[in-house]
Amino acid sequence: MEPFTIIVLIKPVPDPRKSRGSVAIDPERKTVRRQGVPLTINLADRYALEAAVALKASGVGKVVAVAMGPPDAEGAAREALAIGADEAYLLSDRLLAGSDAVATARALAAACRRVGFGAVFAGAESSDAGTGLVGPTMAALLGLPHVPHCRSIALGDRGFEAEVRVDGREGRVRAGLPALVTFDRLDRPPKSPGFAGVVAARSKPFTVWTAGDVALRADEAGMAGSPTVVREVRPASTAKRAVIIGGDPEEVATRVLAVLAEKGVLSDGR
Amino acid sequence: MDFQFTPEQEMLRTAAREFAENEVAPRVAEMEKTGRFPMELIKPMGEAGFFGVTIPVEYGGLGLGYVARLILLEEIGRVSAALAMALQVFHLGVEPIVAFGSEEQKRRLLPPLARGERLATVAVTEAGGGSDPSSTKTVARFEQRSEGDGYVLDGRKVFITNAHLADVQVVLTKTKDEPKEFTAFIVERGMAGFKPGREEHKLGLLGCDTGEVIFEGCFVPVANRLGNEGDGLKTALKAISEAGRSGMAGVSLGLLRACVETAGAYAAKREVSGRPLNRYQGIQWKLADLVTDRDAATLLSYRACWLKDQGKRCDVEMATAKYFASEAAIRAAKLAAEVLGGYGYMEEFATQRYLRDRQLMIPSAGTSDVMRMVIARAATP
Repeated sequence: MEPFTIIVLIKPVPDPRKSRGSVAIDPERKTVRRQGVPLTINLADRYALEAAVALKASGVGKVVAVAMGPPDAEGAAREALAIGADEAYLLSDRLLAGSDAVATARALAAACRRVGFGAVFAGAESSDAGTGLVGPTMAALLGLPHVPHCRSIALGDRGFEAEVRVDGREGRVRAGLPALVTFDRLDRPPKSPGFAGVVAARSKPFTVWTAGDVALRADEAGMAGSPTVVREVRPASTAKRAVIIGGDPEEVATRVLAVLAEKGVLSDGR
Repeated sequence: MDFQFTPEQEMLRTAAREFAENEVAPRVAEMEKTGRFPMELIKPMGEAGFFGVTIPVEYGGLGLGYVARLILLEEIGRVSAALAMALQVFHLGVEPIVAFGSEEQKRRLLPPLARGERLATVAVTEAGGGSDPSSTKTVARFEQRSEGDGYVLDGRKVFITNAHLADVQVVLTKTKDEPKEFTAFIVERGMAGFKPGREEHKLGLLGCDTGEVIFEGCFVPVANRLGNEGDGLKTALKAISEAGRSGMAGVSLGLLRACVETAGAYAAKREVSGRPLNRYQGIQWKLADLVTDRDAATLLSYRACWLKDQGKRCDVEMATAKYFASEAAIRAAKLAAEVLGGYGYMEEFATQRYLRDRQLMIPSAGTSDVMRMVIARAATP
């Protein structure tokens, strides 16, 4: 197989370690506020990036990080270089502000076309907005097969072999190139880039692109290009509730099982 | 003036913190239980560049300097003062070679030290004295041999951090029976007559190796003499006053941060008579003292390391940083434990570890009394 490029999509999200876990909502746009807050790489994207960098040992030519966000997002793009991407692009333009999942996917797809790729990797979901829509929408826009909820990936003679977990069920998926693969957050922590990674990032190319650089029209980008209308944003209730189940052990066990099944905890139907 | 870290320094801090939280934190309980150094961390720490942070790029290091090293020690020390202590002494062992080694010694010794394939320490202290080396009894006798000239070392060093781990040890000896006539040697593992001795059992910093090193007719070739005969005191003191003192300031900063965070989080959560602890003024005063000490120690320590990176004189500033940060760590562990009340003394809470770890901040790299001797000179017209 010829060496090819993997693009990894990096979403700059508010850094939960520096913003005490709280995310601010812009009251006008009703979107997550990303300007003027410390940003970092969305956690699931880090697993996508780690997977892409690991595949360099099995013949992937180059790993390119592509991010979209305000100018402050440069740090997150540089973090991607420290973790092991060879080049990074930040798509940053006022025109892109307020983009929903569709407008974001359109802009990122345009950037991917300009970079050129054999595969696109991304996190399955972001830690801030969490729609999980950008990856699959991009697959549709770029006409690529989509491997969802990937947990580990290898490169065989005929393309990718991926282990996925969809709706609690594990499976193996094979996908030819080019393909788009979205990665879940894993139970293990991501690997630190170390000081060596940060120093190596110094000499790697980093480029800022405007909407014009990827040939996006004003009506395709930002609020104007977003079909989603957010009517209202309100905090979700996270109140805990305790249920006490009494009776003899067998009866209790049966009822506990029924409750667990009803709540979807026993996802394989047992 | 600019009190901000650069974006790259922020990235270094994040990288060090992720390593500390993801790789080090899960091993602290085992280190506490066994007292053993976590050997499995050597390889990932080497890959992360943590051993070569101050080693110049041309010798395989990262050449990041002292501010970056302080960030690293502070972040590792926040999770494990024991590991930060070990790491600071690995750097300390490297510094005399960086500063005074010959080109041949640097090319031969530094690259594997930068990768963590070999580990380093400095052996100065003896049973008869630490900060005052005039009572040093380890001797080096010049000897001509057919395979090449060298020195025969005899003596014993005590309280050596990494004694049993270090492959490369910078050893201070007397080559002549004159008060200021010292010579430093690079002793390497495998040299006949060189062996680690007794392993110390410490109150705290469990998982950081401390012990004796013994030289019994140990032949060291001339190629491993550091600088000239008589340069030893200058070599050892510069390394200890700069790398050693800023290193201990770094370990102390880590401990200070840990105390602030542990006490702050507990005081926000724990309720007494229906109110969280941090709403009581008595607790607020403790928290305020913790934060003020942490910030003062931070400013003194980063200033000293910044001066060093600028190539400016920093001996007094290193001493003020080490003196204040280590004494502040002593105060902080007490305050943090007090905020936690009875729980602060229980094994399940980290404050009991801070109470045990803090004491070694004082004697290492010069006690507070020795620091004050250095600092007082700054007030002398």
